[in-house]
Amino acid sequence: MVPAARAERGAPAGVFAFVYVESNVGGASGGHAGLRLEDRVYHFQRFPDGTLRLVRDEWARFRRLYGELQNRPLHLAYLAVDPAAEERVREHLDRKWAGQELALARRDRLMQDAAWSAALGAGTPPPPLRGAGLLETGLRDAEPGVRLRAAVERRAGDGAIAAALARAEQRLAAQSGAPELDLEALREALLEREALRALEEGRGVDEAALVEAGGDTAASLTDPERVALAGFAAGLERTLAGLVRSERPDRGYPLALAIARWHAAARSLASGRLLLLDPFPDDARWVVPERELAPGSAALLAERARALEAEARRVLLGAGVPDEARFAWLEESAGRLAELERGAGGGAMRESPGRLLPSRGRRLPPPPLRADPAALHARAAGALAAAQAGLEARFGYGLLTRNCVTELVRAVAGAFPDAGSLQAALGGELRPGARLGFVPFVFFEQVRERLRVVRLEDLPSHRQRELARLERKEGAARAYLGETNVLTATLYTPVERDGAFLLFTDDAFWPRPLYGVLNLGYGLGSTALGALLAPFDGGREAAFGARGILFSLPELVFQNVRKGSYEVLPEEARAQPLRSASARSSARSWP
Amino acid sequence: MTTAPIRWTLALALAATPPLTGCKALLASVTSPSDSISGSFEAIGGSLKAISTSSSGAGDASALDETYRRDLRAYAAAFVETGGTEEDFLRGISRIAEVHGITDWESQPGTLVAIGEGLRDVGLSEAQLQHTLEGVDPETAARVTEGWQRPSS
Repeated sequence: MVPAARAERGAPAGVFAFVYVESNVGGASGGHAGLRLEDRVYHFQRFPDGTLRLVRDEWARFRRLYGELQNRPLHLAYLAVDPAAEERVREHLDRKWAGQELALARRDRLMQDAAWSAALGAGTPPPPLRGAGLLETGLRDAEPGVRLRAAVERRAGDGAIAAALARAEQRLAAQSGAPELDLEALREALLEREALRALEEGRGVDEAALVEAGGDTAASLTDPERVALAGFAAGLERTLAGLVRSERPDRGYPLALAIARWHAAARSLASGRLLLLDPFPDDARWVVPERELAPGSAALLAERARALEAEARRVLLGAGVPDEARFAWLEESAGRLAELERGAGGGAMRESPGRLLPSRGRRLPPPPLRADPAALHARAAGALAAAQAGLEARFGYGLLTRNCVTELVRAVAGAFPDAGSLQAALGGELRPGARLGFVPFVFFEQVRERLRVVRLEDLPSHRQRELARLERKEGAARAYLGETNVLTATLYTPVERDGAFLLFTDDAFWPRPLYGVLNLGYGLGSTALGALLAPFDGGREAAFGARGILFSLPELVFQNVRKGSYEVLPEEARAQPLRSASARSSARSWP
Repeated sequence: MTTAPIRWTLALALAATPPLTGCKALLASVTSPSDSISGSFEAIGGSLKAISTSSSGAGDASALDETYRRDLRAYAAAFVETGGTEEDFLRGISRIAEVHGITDWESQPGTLVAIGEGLRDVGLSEAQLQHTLEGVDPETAARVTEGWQRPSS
C-alpha cells in the first residue's frame, strides 16, 4: 500500500532506520534495538509479567527517554526502502500490535473473571468496577443533575433513560438466572445500570474524583475557556443520548465517564475554576519522592508539569471546543501536575505509565446468582491458566532466542511473503539471532554490513553532548578532569539506579580496567557502609553499593555498561541543537 | 578497538549475564518513576504540538486522528485473523480507542470507515462483506462499506 500522496508528489523516501541503543544500568542493560518508521519507533520490551511486547513510541519520546534521561548514545542506520515496502512493514507491525492488544485484553478479562468468581465463592464483595467511583452515591435531583437528565431526554427522546435502564435490568436478570454465568456481561450490566441510575436520579460527580486544574497556581476560567467548556458539555449531552440508545456491550463505562465529565464542567462554569476528573487508575503506583527520587526532582518535575498543563489549557481550551481525545490530555496533564505538587511538598504521589483516562472504581454488589460459585471459579481459573500459557508461548521472553532484537527481526521479516521479497526490499537478508545477532550491537553491525544502508547517524547521550560543550568552553583537559569523577562533576548528580561508582568509563577505553578497579573498591566501601546503616535506612545504601559493584565488573574486562543517568533534565538542555554534536560524533565513530 | 572475535566473545559473555541484560520495559520499570513521568510529559507535549500545529485547529482532523484510524484498521484486520464473538469485537474497539483517549468511539466519524478498511486489508470479498453486514443498520453498513471501497492510503 503506497502512501499515495507522497508517491505522487515525488517526495523523498521516508524514514526507515534501525536504531541501536547502547547499554546502561536499568531498563536495557545489554543494549536495545528498535525500528524507526517516520516519527514512530517500534521496539520490543520485556514487561514485569515476563512477556516481551511490541511497543510503539513517538521518536521524540523514545529519544528523550533513552538518549537523555537514560543517557545512552543512540545509533541509527537509515535504509533506502521503497515507500510501498515501508508501508507494508508499518501495517504489519501495527497489526501485530493490535493482535497483541487483543490477546492482552482477553487475559485481563479472564483475570477479572478469576477475581470475581473467587470473591463470589468466598462471599466477599467483588473487586471495584472501573468508572463506577466517578459518580456520587448520595445526593439526588440536584439542579445540575435534573438539567442533564432533561437535556439527554430532549436529545434521545422522552423516556429513553428509563427504557435503557429497563434493558440493563433485563440483562442483569438474565445473568442472575443463568446457570452458565458470563462474568464479563454481569460486570457490564452492573456498571451500565449504575450509570443509568445516576443519570435518572440526577446524581452528580463524586467529590473525590475531582482535581482542580492549575494546582497551586490555579487561574480563573477566561471567556474563551468558558465557551469551549460549555461546547464540550453540550457535546457530552449528545454523547450520552447516543450511549443511552447504544447496543455496545460495554457502554456502562463511557456513560459513567460522560456523566461525571458533564458535572465537572457544570461545576467549573458555575464556580469559574476549572475542575477536571482525576485521571489516575485505582492501581496507580504510589511513589515516595524522598525514597525514590533524588532531592529536588519532584519539585523540578512539578515545574515542568505546571508549564505543560498551562500549555495544554491554552491549546485545548483556547482554540475552540475540544473533542474527547483532546480533553483527555487536559485531564491527564492536570492530574499529573496535582500529584507532582503533592510530591514536591514532601507527600507520596501517584504515578502510572501510559495514557490515562478517569476510571475511579467502586464496588457494586451483584444480584443473587443462580450459578454455582465453585464451578464458576474452577472454570475461570482454568481459562486464565490457559490464557497465561498461551501468552507465554506467544510472547514469552528468551535471553538468546526471543529478545528485543530477535523479535524485531522476525516482525520485520513477517511483513514479507518470502525471503526474496525481504531481501529485495531491504537490500539483504536478516535472520533472527544468527551469528550472535541477538546482541543489539552485533545486530546493528549486521544491519550496516548486509542491508541497503544509505546513512548512519550517531546521537550522543546527554552527558556526552554536555561534556563536549564544556570541553569547548573550558578546554578538554580541564573539563575531563572535572567531569570524569562523580565527586567534582557538574554534569551529573548520583542517581539511585546507577549504583555507587567513582569514575565514568564510557569515554575511557584503555584505562577502563583500572577505573573499574577503583569503581569496584568504591562500591565495596559503599556496601560496607550500607551494612552499618541498614538498621536505619532499610538497606538502601547497601543496595546502592551492591549495584555499584555489579556494574563495575564488566569494566574489569574493558566493557562499559554504566554511563550515569538522570531523573530530571533542565529544559534548556532539551533545547540544545543536537545536529552539530551528532555530526562530530558521527565522524569519529563511522569513518 | 578490540578485534571482532574478542568483541563477539565479550558480547556473548555480557549477554549471558542475566542481571545485565534484558530489553526491560522502561515505563513498567519499578526502579524509575521519573522515567515514567517524563515519558508521559513527552507524550502530552508531543500531542499538544501536533494539535497546535494542525492546519485547522483543535477540533479538526490531524495526525492524531490519523493514528487512531490506522490503529482501528489494523485492529479490524487482526480480529478477522484471530476470530471472536461480536461482543469481543466491540470490546476490542473500545480498548484500541481508549489508547487514543476516546471512549465514545461510536460518534467518531472515522471509526466505521477504518473498520471497513481493515476488512479490505485482510482480503474480505464484497460478498463476504455483505454477509458480515447483514442485519446491521444501513447507516453503519454504508460507512463500513465506504472504508472497504476506499483506495489504499
